[in-house]
Amino acid sequence: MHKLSNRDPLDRRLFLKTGAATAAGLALTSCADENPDRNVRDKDNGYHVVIVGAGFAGATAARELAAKGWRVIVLEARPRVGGRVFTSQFLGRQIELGGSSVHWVQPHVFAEMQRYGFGFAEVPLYDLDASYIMLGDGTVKNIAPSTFDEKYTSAFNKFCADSRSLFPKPYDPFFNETLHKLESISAEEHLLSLDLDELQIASLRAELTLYAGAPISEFSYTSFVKLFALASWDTFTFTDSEKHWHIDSGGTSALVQAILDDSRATVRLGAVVQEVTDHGDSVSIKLSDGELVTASTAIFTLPTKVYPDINFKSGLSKEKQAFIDNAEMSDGANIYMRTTNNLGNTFCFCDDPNPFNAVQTEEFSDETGTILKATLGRQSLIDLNSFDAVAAELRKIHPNAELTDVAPYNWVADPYSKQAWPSYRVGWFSKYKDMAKPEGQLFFAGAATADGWHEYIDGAVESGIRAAREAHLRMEKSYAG
Amino acid sequence: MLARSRRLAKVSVCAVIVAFLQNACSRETDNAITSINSTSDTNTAAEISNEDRKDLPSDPHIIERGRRLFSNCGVCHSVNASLPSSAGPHLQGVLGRTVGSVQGFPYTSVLMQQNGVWSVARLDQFIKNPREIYPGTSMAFGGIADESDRRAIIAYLASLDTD
Repeated sequence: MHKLSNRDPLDRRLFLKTGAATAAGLALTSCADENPDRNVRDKDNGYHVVIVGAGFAGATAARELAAKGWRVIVLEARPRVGGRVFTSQFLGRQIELGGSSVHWVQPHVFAEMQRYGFGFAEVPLYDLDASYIMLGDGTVKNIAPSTFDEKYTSAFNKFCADSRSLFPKPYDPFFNETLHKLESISAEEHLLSLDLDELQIASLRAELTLYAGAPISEFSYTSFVKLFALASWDTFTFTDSEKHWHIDSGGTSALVQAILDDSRATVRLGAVVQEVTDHGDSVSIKLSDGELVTASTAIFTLPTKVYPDINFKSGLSKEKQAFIDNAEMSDGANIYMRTTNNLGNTFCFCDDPNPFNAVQTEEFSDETGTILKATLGRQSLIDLNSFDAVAAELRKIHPNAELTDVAPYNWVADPYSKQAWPSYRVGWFSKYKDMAKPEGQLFFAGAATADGWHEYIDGAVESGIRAAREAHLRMEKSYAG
Repeated sequence: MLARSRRLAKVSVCAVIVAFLQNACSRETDNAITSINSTSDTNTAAEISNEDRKDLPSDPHIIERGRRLFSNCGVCHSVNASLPSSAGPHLQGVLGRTVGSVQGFPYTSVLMQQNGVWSVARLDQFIKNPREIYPGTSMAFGGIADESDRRAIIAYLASLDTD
């Protein structure tokens, strides 16, 4: 069978070598032609920066560095850009299968929305018709929305009561040194130390399991309270920031694309990085098809659990390797469902170990029926690709639900994420800087390395800006010398 | 594979040597995959397609069930070549199509190097456990365990070709 190569247009712009060619001292070069109207530094006719990953962190880093005149190539293993955000369609409407909620208290992503002209799309979170709490044993309690709100808000306030003293400067999370003494406290331990009733514990544990992506006995208590501090130490603002607003006009994926378009970097899809060699004054990256991409520096923006799939020839520091091996847990996924019957505007928290931790109405009318979104902290508790299993789970909450369509995205099954959003295991929150620290010519971004909203899109953007600054300063120094 | 070599040859004659080495390496992978579905590879696309279609369910209820179940796949794959396909190749006419052959789609090298044809059996294996049949595929999907669900989806995809 003969196939047409679908990569020629991009490959012409690549600064390529092959493994064998390198051994033979043969360099195959071609002139990169991106950034035609910018002050490109044409010192050596190759790429200055290779960025691995075309999510928010990678796209932001590419834009920042290209704006400084560096020649940038972005390598993305998936056939799409966006990383752990993915805007798609479900029955003709825009859906967010990964990172979805954004807010004006998240400064980095809000600035990107402003820069490229994106607005907010509202999710019907308030004025609920019905609210439910599923206990750990599967019993469902139908709670009046006003009672639900009162109980949950009170529980949340208690859980985060120390946030102001713990995080007076949320972007400098360990400014209060007493935080180190709290590293070993799990969210479960803290939750059970509070004076809460059964429904409050169940609803708050459901919320915390979502963030943990694991049983909350493994989840760092203080890392969650930092997120609360970032939302101005306020429960209403926190909930509003996490569940109420999406990006309009093409969603998260369109915003990533807008940033990448602005960067004018070469973007290569389907490019799976296999091996990385830091030569001291350059970095070469071997792809799974044998091609080598070479640049002065490299920025890695991968989900933490993906790093073991790449062979770093010079190794990584033992601190970084320890973080990669231990720090993160998230077993999360999302699923959209449509029922023919109109269930109204509903919200349900399901305590661990029920698989759907939060089930939220996204749209409802007599014509459409109901579009529901479930967020799972622990996808391994259910087979999301089994229609019958999903229908049975939904009927526990809505016994008369007539499920017709489902659209899951299992981030753990995605070979290029292997996890959902970042979350820190007990004892590992203070180590996130180890993951962010540059090593030789290699720089590291990704939401897990953020000072601020580390479980969010905002943290990814923040980390891309930081890693781009670090790489820029390194190259300025190196090229000046 | 030959197209790959041609592309490299445009860059440098030296690269042809490298392409030969790469072919030698990837052939090992091809052989491993071929052994899974050796029957399919000996037939032409048209033969596979016609032979397979006869065994697929034609009950409209099953095809409708397949259409519903396809919402699992539809977040990434379009069933119409003229419409956007957000994260996977379009699946119009997939039955009988050469694996990894939709022009313009950025397959990873694993699927690019395959020469087989999407028969019913191969599609079934792939939907059941993508990474078992093609380790290294970028398809972000855990697989559908229920055999009747898989057949309904394949029957739905096949039905689109005859509409």
